Amino acid sequence: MSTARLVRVLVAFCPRWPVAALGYSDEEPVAVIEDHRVVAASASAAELGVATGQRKREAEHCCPGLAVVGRDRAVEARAFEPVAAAVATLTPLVEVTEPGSLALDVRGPARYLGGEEALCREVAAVARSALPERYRRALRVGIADGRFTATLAARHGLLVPRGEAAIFLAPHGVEVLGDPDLAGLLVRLGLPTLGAFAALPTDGVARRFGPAGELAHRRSRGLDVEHLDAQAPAEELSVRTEFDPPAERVDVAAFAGRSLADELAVALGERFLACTRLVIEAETEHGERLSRRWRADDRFSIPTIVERLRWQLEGWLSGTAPEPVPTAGISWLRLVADEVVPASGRQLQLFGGRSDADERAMRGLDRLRGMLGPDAVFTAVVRGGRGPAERVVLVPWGEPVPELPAGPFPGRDPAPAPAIVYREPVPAELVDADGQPVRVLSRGRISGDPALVAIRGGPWVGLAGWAGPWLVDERTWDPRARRRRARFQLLTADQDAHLAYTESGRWWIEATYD
Amino acid sequence: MLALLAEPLARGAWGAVLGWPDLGVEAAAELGVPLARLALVPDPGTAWWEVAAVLVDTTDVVVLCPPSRPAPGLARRLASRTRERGALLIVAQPSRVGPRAAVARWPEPLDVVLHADAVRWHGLGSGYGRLASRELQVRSSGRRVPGGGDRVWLVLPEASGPLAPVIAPAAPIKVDAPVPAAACAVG
Repeated sequence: MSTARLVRVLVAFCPRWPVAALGYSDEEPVAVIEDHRVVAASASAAELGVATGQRKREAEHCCPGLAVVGRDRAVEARAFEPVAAAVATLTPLVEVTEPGSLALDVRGPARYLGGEEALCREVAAVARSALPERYRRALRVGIADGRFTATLAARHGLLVPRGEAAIFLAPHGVEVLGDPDLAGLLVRLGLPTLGAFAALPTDGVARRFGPAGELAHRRSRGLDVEHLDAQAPAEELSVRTEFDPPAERVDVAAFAGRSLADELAVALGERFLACTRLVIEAETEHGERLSRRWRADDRFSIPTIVERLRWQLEGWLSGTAPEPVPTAGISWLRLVADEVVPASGRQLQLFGGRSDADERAMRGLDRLRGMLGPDAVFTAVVRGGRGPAERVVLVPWGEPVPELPAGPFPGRDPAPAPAIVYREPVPAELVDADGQPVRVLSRGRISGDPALVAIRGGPWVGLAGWAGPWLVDERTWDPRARRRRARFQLLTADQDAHLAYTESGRWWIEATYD
Repeated sequence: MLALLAEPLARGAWGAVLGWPDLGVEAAAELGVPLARLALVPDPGTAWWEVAAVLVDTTDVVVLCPPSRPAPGLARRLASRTRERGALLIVAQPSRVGPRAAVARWPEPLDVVLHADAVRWHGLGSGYGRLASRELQVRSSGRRVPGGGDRVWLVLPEASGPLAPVIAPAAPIKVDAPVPAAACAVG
């Protein structure tokens, strides 16, 4: 695993955003709840012991007179859009992860703004200018290698130098990994910090904790995995819808966005891709162009795309910021899959949401991987190739699917494909009616029609039919690796059908049409 | 038999193939099995029944080529676990040639046994054509099949639609040798 591609990431983060967005100041004892649990508390409430994850009753017990309000994500999105818009004046590459948090790739902007420190100051200044005055001081900005580390660095308002992510991360508790089950397990195992977890050997982690644990382990070591196989799609992947008359209300536009998200999911699914960064674009009746990038936690599913789209429309159409608010309804809306990763079997499932069957099966396969090791459970991919064994790639469960070569493959054996493909070809003998071994001559002529076959030294069996040869001549440039094979279909009098080939005068059964 | 996987998997179920290292995955894909939801455990090791137990607990259709003959008690437990979960366990005996030709027998009576009595291939002549389709005579028997079982002629791969009238869900099915792996559910 190379660290060379780790990107320097800046994260700007608004602490307690669910509280601040609703317009409460830190002096007011307020807790925001969702699903009966505290998701954010004002500073004064936090001082009295109100913490995220608490039940409403516990929180009220800590802090008499606590105002408890329900979470409103639409309001959070609406209030954050001006901040994103302000930072986007510095660099167009701003990515919103969720309302209250944005990230950007440091490389370009740090250069023209005179370094990372200057960039931090600049981003903080423009973001603060878009925030209400009483909240401005709360905003935090941080830079580090990779998104995960940068998010933590931002909480402390720190600039973590290149290559020092692991040192910075080490003292943090494992709960920052965002996986409560794993964190609980690690604490019970006596590994309460990222440093302690990071010190475990990598292969043991894969075996013991499965793919999720492996990912968390890489993060603990300061290696941000999300970027490794992510790239811009080879062709533009976008979907678009028009509004006539222009949509002025969020619900109208969001309703159309649902089918747009479905369309994008289909386009990605057909290419075996999953989207990690999404651009939402719109134009108003007055020709104003609006655009915002959203970054997925992991990979976007249809519901998460719909949600981001709704938040973004809230930000644009219900916005309160002075300038970038559109002056008219939206005339078209466009979704662009801006960055994609290969969808492995499991990621393909994630796309379009997981069913209970998916969840159960994935847990089961993770468990088997834990029992048997990383090279025992596979999913398969079919790709191009001339022989049946070349056309199948087994991918260890939990790993991404590799790039697949495209066709055409002249000389491949004809469909349908055989149901048994021997790992080691089975030796055979093939003779003509005179008992002479069948040989393939130049230009695909044969020395005599095949009449009898003996497989693995077994009895001679008559042939009811045969066809071939399908000629394969590979790696002609390398005399030692050059492979010239002639493939035949053989049907015995017992109606057993085989795929056979001959190479250097010997015959082999390669597969059986079972 | 791979065709038994296609329909449930296409509807979102998960499948697994256990102990069949030389499975022609491409044939399964051609029959409409979505490979993204098909897990393969080619070499499950000696404690393969533990692997099988996890698979019947978590996936919906499990094709099992037993690497060794299981103890009768083990086979019974696996079958009852399958029934409890409402999964389908298919004990497969693909007709290989070569070193793994010997297939372990299943010690317990099975709910449904599909046996291909006769196969006739079409499309291949002497020196021309190619294997195109085949006719199969499939006989069903077993504990849950009333009477002596029916004989049905099927044509593959030109299947007109799913057949499988004899297959009770939640029942372990034995597909007896010699069995065209692609045969027993479609016609």
